[in-house]
Amino acid sequence: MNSPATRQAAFTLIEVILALALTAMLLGLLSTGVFIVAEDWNRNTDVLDETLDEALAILQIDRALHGAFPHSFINRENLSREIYFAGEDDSLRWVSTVSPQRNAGLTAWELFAINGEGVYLNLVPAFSDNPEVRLEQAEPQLIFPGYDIEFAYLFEETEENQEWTDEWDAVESLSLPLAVYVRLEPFDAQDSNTQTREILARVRNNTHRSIRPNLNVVGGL
Amino acid sequence: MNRKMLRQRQKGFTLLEVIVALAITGFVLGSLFSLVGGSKQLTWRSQDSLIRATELRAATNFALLQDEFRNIDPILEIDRYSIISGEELEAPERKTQPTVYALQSYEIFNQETEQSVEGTRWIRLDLPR
Repeated sequence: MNSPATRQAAFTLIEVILALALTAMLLGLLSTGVFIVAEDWNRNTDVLDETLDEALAILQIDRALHGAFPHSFINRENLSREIYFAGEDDSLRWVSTVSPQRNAGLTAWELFAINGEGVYLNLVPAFSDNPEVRLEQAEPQLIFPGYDIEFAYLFEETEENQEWTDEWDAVESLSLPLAVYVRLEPFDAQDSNTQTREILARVRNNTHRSIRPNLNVVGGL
Repeated sequence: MNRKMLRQRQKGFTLLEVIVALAITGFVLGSLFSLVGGSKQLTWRSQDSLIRATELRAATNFALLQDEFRNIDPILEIDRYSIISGEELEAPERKTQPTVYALQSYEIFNQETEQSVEGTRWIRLDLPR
């Protein structure tokens, strides 16, 4: 009767509990390991995605500013021909030959910041009228979250001397600046994922083919 | 005979088995954590090169502005990149008339990484040549 079956009948309760506890611990360790890896991977991909988006947006804006065009339209109120390029120190509206979708024709661009949110971009096709109207109806998109924006415009004081100004009104000057400088400044300087970004673009197409520029008004002269 | 064999078979794990099992667990955990480190480094590196690309773009644009407008005020805030003017390139052999324009080589040098990007730009000379 003293068969192996009786001696090896079963584990005791303590043994089972111990074995279970050990297995649970091991599984727990492994799965937290996997979880941490997956989490970290996700976070890294997100950060990389955001940086990539930011870099692409910067290069797009760079292209669009290089392709700035002296778009003219007739002002219905006083029947004068105006050139569209409204540059402030914290916002800019301009017409460019470049669009992100590579659409044919001209595109009106608008960049402005909303405090606490970031920099918004507005894009509409530019036709022969004032693009302002359509820009106001369009839905702006947040392209640089967490950034503030600043602009500077290059004008020619004399042939030997060029100066940066923080305002450009094409209604008065009837021309475009020689170059545009854009600075994106993060709200939170401590955040390592957002740093100062800069865009600089030479505007080659800065005078209209028939409208004479009025350079005396630029730079407060 | 049968009983003896059974008893021996159910003795328990040997030390060797336990060590092997622990080693395998260790390897798995170790490779998981090295994956974390690897992906993090890769992210940093690619993020860094993306940012550098946009900064270099601005620096190149400024270098090209400088050739046209010699006395332009520097405006870029990121001063990691210095623009170094190189020599003027040799004039072509058959030049029909003197011009004030010449090609000049330039270099954008990053002080932090000691990398540089080279290019050529037009400059306006004081006297026609």
